[in-house]
Amino acid sequence: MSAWAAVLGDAAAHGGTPAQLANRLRLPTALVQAVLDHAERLGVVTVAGQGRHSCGSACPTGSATPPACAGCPLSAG
Amino acid sequence: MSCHGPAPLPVADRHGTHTADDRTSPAPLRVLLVGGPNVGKSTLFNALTGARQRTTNAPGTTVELATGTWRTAAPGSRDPAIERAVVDLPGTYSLLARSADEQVTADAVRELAWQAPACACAATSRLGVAGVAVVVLDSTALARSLYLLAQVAETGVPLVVALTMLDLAATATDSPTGAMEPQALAAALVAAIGVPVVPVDARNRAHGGLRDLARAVDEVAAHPTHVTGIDVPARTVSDGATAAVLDLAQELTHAETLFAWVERVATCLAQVTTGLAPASDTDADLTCEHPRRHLPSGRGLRGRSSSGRSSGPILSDRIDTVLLNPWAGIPVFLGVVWLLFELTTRLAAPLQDVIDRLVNGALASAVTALLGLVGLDDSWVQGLLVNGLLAGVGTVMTFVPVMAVMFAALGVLEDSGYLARAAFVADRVMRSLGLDGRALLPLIVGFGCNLPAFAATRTLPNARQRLLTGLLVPLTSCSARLTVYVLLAGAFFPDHAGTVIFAMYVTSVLLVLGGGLALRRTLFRDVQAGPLILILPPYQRPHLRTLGMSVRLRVGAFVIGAGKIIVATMLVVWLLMALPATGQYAVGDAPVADSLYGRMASGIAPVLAPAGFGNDHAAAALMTGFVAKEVVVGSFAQSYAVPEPGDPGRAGTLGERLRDSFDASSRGHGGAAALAFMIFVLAYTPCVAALAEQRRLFGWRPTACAVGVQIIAAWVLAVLVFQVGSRL
Repeated sequence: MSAWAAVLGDAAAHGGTPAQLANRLRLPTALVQAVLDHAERLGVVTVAGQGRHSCGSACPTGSATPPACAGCPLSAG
Repeated sequence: MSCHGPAPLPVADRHGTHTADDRTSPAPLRVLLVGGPNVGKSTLFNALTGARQRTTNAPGTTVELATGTWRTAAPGSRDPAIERAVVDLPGTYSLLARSADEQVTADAVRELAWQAPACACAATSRLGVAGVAVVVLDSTALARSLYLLAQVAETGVPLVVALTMLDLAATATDSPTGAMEPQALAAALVAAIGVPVVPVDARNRAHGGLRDLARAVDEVAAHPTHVTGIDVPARTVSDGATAAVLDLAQELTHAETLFAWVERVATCLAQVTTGLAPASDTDADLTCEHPRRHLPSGRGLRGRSSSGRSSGPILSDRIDTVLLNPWAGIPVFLGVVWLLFELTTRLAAPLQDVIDRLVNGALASAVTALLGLVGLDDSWVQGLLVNGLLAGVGTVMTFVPVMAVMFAALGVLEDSGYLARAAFVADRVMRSLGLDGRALLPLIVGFGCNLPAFAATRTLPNARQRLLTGLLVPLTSCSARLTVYVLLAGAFFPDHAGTVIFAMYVTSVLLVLGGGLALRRTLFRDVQAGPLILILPPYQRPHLRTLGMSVRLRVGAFVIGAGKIIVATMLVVWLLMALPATGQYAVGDAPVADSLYGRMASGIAPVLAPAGFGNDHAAAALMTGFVAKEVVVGSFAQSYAVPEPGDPGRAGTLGERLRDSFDASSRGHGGAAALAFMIFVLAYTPCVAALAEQRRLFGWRPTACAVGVQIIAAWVLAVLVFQVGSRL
């Protein structure tokens, strides 16, 4: 399994901080951070307490709507 | 291929500024420095361009860019030096931008990719391509840097890799390639990715690999090379209900492809490190096999601990256990900010006095004497030159030491790696305002002086966050306002002066929080603090040459950008004070009360009546306070025609006069009126210098709006305080 798939799979299954994910997957923290950063930009990972880049607590609108929200009937973007 | 890219970035050459659309002559090769935050990109830029650089805004944005000329001697010929136009792009971890700054970087890379030699619309250099991207990779966090490299590479832009932080990687136990010699690491990377890789130590110009970098850039410009091994599947364009799902699926597949490439490169490097593959392997197709099948445990991309550590913590880790701990980190941060205050005030104050004496003393006397020789002493010309122009220049010059010390201190904090830690510990507090931890520093600096606080907003990565923070900075109570509080609190509340002054600072904090929340819920609903994922750089010693160069450039930008507005405003104020309101006096001879300035104060006074200080003295003091809060006390003394007290805490005759006029204008509620006056001083525009800096950083429109809102808010708050206070 690639680092990308491993990090996203582990984040979905267990959550946690980048350091915790890196520890569980035995990957460099920098790589885990890079994966999470990109996933967050795509809108498929949310940071607890944020809710901006994903549909965690609200529906993003406007041009900043992440790809993950495109086509969502609740998103006005 | 489309020739329609984003607006071209300005580039600087020795003749000035031109854009890539300038077709009159072969443009100098454009070199874009691309990299993540804290990878040493700006240090490299300073080393390449030396003094030949300038700062400018990216087209249509308030994102500040540094551009410069990189000049090297032509190898083996008598030709003049080769010049390249270098742009230091904002740091980003990804080309999938989520801020205006990151968008500028992404657009610049894509613009360069569109300007292929075959494209007739682009101004190509004499070497055949419009430009080359130099992707700066941090050797201590290669996995993260490699991902950005993959994104840049897939745009098709000709590129060269510059490896930085090699000295730190060599001593870091958590660096997978730390044991490798820089040249060996470069060779391994070349074999893995197929483009030139140059180790650089920009902090050491003599041995920094800058010549190698110049050679590599020119070679790539002449014979473009591209990263190998990235096999991105072709995307399909679709419409309809399934398009969004398909797009996301493509994005995910695309990301997985790029990360797979990052993993393969890292694996190859790990194999070279462990001797399983030769560093000079020229097979550019990345045939390195998966580490779990071939590498000993504990080596390679996988098989490392959470941070990849293979031995005990390094010095940076040990320091971080203290500085990143909330209980210890926040007090240390406050201590550092206090030190920053002390440095700016104690180091700069004597220099400010010297400059003030020089400009307003010796130089003013000399100009007056010269004017006397031509019979113009005691004329309006002398007033214009000495009290208007020279006073304005003096004001600008007295701020230069403050700005220089502040820029130097910020540079040390940034270069040493501490600023990233401070941002981390302050992050939670600032999130309530939609800002991340980096916003705390300018807001705290504002309590010393608002002017350098605006400068400190540059540490924020996002233009909207910088603007929001910049709008909150004037609400922090700068030390110049303290003299007003001390005078009025001493005059009206002699037994509780300390408590009153403390309450003013508490009010300032409440105004920042209230203002921040109000702005977040109205004009800045789009501003959210993104997750603060920072790669904390190892601690390192700042490089004095680079630091000095940065301070010189930023102070120069302040003097030119803000200075002209300060001087112009001082001239306007002088003119208003010199022009008589009636024909009884000549220009420059009118007493303040009979000048246009005095009449304006009389006109404003009734507006201030609901706040209890609707008298000419208070109105005139607030008008001069617009120029600088330091002169409010002097303005009171001047308008009451009493000597200015050496210690504002012992107001003497001035205090009596103040009590009399405030009691009269407030119908016996002088204390409430004094409190209202202090609130007004706290909330309205800090000074013309801060205004000029705000305009320089954010533009006229937000600055003008801010001034209007500040004056209205100051009036509303002052009226509220007086109306409530006078009824208690």
